[in-house]
Amino acid sequence: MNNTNSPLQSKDQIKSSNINLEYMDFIGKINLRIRDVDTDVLNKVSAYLGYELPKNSGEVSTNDESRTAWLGPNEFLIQCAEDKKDKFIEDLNRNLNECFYALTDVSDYYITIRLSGEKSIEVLEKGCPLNFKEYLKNKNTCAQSYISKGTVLIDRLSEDQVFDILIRWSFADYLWDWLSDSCSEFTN
Amino acid sequence: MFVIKCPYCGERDQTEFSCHGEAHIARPENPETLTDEEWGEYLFIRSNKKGIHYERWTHDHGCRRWFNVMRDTVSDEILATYKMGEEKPKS
Ligand SMILES: [Zn+2]
Repeated sequence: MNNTNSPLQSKDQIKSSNINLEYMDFIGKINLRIRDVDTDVLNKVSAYLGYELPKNSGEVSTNDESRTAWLGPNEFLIQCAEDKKDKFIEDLNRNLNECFYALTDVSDYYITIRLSGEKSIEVLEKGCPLNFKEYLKNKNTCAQSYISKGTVLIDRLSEDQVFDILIRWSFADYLWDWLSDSCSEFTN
Repeated sequence: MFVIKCPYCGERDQTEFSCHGEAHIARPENPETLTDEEWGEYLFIRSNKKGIHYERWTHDHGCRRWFNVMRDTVSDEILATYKMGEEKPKS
């Protein structure tokens, strides 16, 4: 795919039997903030998305069209295909008319780096303080932390080790190089 | 590893957090009626306890929420963490 401006477009992706590193284009990302425990807004968003929003830290709710990660007790990240994003925002704004909330398009604010393969956790552990025996154990879980010097959201997509790492645009180049270096012991 | 329990996210490494000073200091309701001494008292004077201390922390690299910590300043042991607005635990 040709993303004209990705800071990672000139990077070499890594493909090997036990570790893979690639960057993902065209993911729509929408940040939703509400008042604490505003069940009216929660219900309206759930009804539109077609699933209950995550209630606790580390939870991700999903269906074929979108996935929503818990970022805080009153904050969520909704991810969908980029070409569906504008419709999601438009529809949600219409459904939440008169409610107190903030919906922000952060699609170009975060870059998604996908790390997969059976050595993924070993790579992450080199720079991330999370206890992987307790966090990100299963499919559809997420955790916010940092990897080396970059603050990230890590989203586990599969029971196999497949992780989407969301990092701020300006840190993406740095984190890619760090991960790529970190993977290198497993690729040859 | 020094671990802090975020009231929202659970036990995380201390490097994900930062401390923001003493908790439970209420801003005076009518600052314009205060003397300079009283205003200075609110702004600058802290209890500086030896022993049980209540302070505000944020989970910077996690959920980014503010919460309160009850910490022993002698041993550095964190005795409790609790959400903003909750009653402070008895020492
Ligand atoms: Zn937290």
